[in-house]
Amino acid sequence: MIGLKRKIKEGKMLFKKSRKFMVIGIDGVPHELIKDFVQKGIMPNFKRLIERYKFIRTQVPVPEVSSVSWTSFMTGMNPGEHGIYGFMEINKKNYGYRFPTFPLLPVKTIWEKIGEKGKKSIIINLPNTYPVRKINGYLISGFVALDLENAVYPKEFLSYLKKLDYKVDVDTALGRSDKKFFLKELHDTLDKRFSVYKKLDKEKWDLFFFIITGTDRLHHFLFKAKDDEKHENQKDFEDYYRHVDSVIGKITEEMEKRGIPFIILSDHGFTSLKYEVYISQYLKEWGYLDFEDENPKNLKSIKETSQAFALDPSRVYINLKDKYGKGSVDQKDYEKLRLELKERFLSIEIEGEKVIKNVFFKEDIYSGQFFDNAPDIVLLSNYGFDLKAGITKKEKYSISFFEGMHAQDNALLLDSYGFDLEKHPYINDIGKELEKYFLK
Amino acid sequence: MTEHNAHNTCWNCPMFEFKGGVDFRACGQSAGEVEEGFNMGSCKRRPELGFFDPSSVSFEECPEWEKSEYGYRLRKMKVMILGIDGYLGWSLALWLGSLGYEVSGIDNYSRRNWVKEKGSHTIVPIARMTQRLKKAKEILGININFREIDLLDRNKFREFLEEVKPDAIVHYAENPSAPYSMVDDDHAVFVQTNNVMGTLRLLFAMRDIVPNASLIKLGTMGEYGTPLTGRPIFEGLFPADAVLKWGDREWSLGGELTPRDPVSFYHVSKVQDTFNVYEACKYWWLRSYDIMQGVIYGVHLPQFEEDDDLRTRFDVDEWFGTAINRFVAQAVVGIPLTIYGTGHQKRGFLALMDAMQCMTRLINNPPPPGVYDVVNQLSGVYSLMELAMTVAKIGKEEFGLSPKIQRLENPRVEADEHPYEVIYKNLPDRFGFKPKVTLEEEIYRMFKLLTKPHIKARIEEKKHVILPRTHWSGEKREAKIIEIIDKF
Repeated sequence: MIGLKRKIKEGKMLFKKSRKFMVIGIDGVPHELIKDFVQKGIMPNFKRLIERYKFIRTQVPVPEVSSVSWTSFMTGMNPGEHGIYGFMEINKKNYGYRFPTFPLLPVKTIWEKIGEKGKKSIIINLPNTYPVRKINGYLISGFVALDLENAVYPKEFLSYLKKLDYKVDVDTALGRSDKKFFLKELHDTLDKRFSVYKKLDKEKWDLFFFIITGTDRLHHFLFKAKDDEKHENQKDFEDYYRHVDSVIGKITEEMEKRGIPFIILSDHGFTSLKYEVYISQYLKEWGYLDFEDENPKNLKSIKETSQAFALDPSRVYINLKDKYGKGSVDQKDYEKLRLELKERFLSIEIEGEKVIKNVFFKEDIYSGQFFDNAPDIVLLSNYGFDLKAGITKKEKYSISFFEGMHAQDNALLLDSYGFDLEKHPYINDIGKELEKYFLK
Repeated sequence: MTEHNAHNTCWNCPMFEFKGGVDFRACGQSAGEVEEGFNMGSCKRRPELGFFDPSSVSFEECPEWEKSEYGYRLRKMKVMILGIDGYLGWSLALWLGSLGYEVSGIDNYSRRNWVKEKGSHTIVPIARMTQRLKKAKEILGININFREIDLLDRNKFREFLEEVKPDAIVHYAENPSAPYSMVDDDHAVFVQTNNVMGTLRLLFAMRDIVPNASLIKLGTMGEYGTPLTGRPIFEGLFPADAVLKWGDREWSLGGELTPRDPVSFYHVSKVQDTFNVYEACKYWWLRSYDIMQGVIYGVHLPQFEEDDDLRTRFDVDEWFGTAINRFVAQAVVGIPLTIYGTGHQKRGFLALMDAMQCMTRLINNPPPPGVYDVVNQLSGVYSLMELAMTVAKIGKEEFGLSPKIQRLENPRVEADEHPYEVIYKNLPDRFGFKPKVTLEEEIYRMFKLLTKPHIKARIEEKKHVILPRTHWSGEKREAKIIEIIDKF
């Protein structure tokens, strides 16, 4: 094995003449999974890559979900600067749920910045880019993309995708109802995505994003198959990784042949799930949250006396008087309330285990023009405890149907080029480096 | 007072375009609704809202829904009436038009032709459609977008649907006559083909062109029959706590379609429609109210009073006349009011203007996608003898007539004596319906109109087609008189 510094130097030398860059995303893949599967011989292509290039563990901003992470990467910013704090937001007046769509993203992405300088980008399956906005090149949105029509730019490319029967994502209802069909669809979706890559790679491009999201879906439903030999889907789990490895092998070989540098990164890690933990139910029990309905469906029926509420996955908001339609907390009580909640959250235990690893106040972790919109408190759980808002739940925690959960601190980066990064960099810093590559 | 539909949400609104369900716990999306997670879509009228969970906005919060006498209503709501030239279709067109709805409609004048075929005519004269439309515009300021189209003409209908893209469709375009369907095999085949195939064409067209529009489909109380066990006639579906018991075992019946026991080949066509609509809601997420309508009676809407050319048709013949309307006509020309059998048969009834109120409330309250819902639309249950007595009494006391009642042998196959417990709570409880017209008041109005000389003359002219000659057995002869009652 050659040393890290030497690898970086060699990478820079190897690709120094290129002005292009390839980004391969593997959604939700933890660093140690790759190491493990390389060792077991499941991922021979990755073995070659790890031997040749820098391969490190990375972290992502909280909350550790794809929308926040990928937006942080594609803008090189922290959530306080780009304004995406989760998949859903609420209308401050009436507490109705809203989905912050891509056109509402108030800052420019890397491909938009370099596009202004005439650089052409091709983006396949990048989460949180729906509905598409104009790009100098091609954009096919990733999850959440509720229809293909609004997930493709330029529109003319839609007919090709329809003919291919391209799917933005596997229908996850299958993960619950029919595992075999779900697995088949995961392979099929990856094959089709790869076909799109092959077609678009023939176009002229400067920046290419190819994101595999099936890994994350597989983990949610079958993560325990990774280590459990008795799990009925262990072979299926490994087979999917063989497939991923082969696709990555083909793309990276092609890039190496053409002298184009590349990175492979994940937007968060993963770990096994023991319990789903419902923050709203704790807030209710402690007397901070109450609803007008006995069985609330959403936050709309929040009682005016409520002092705090939660949004998925781990965001807590103080129900401030001047900020929310039914706000009840005076600004002067804000600090005291946050400290009180922090103490309570840190005290949660399930079966003798501490649930919460860290309680962040917004100013600890975010800065920037959209700081005001940030959740007042963000929780980070210990491995195994998957935090959810859980408004509709009756219990405070439950055993989940799902087998895996996101992890904040075990994402990965394989870096062929040698970006100037810290030991365990944040994903937004990787995005910044990519931007520098083009705009230095 | 909170309007009945104030807490409905974008799920109910035809402007909401559902895109799919997202379960963030699995970072997964799904084409269908998700049980846990978020269902998302966008608003056709307010694209600036982006994508949101439809339960986020209620009618009372949405600026596109405005308060009205009949609950919140969608601004500039487009309602297409199929069968707009008929008794109810034309009435609804003027009623909704006056309230500010954008009304369109189709008709192929079948009703005019069927009545003509049977040798009768509408006793309240009606204008030609061109004149009706002209007067509606001139006098009431209503623009009705009308096309002469047969619902079975697939291409023409689809073109019109594409052009209008209605938010709600009221389906009156069926042959409504039990005796007509019992004339002979040609008539039975015609009624079932026209009704069942027309509805089927409509359902497919809605799936392809306006999947978000709500369908308000006219069914009939006659679909249920009159269960002799005395079992209540629920509103189409069994209530949640209904139980089927057999031996020592029990099953919940909640939500299942209640049994149907149609009483003619026409009623069978309506039952078939019910199943077709029910299935379409299940397969394609269409949304529909099946209206099990009682017998509508009456002549009055304020719009009709503006001009005689605005009046709706009024049939009293054996095939297209209905109980109360026929009784009044008979009383006016001095022929006995005809009761079939004992006259103890009970039926649900509703005045024309109250029916319009119900329709408006249903139009204002679209069901969520995929929901097939049923309302029993009536304001009271009466025995036919009771009604005949009321008509005779008003005719005698208020108009100086000398009506008689005659009992005829029943040409139909139906129970003369039967229990009849109809549940009709949905409209008052869920849709805020309060009947405004009393039976006596509407009968009085009918006498007032029908005693006008030119109308009386038109009844005289066709009085030979009032008595039943179509027997369910297949016989064609006048029904025998059993008894004449002149004291009441």
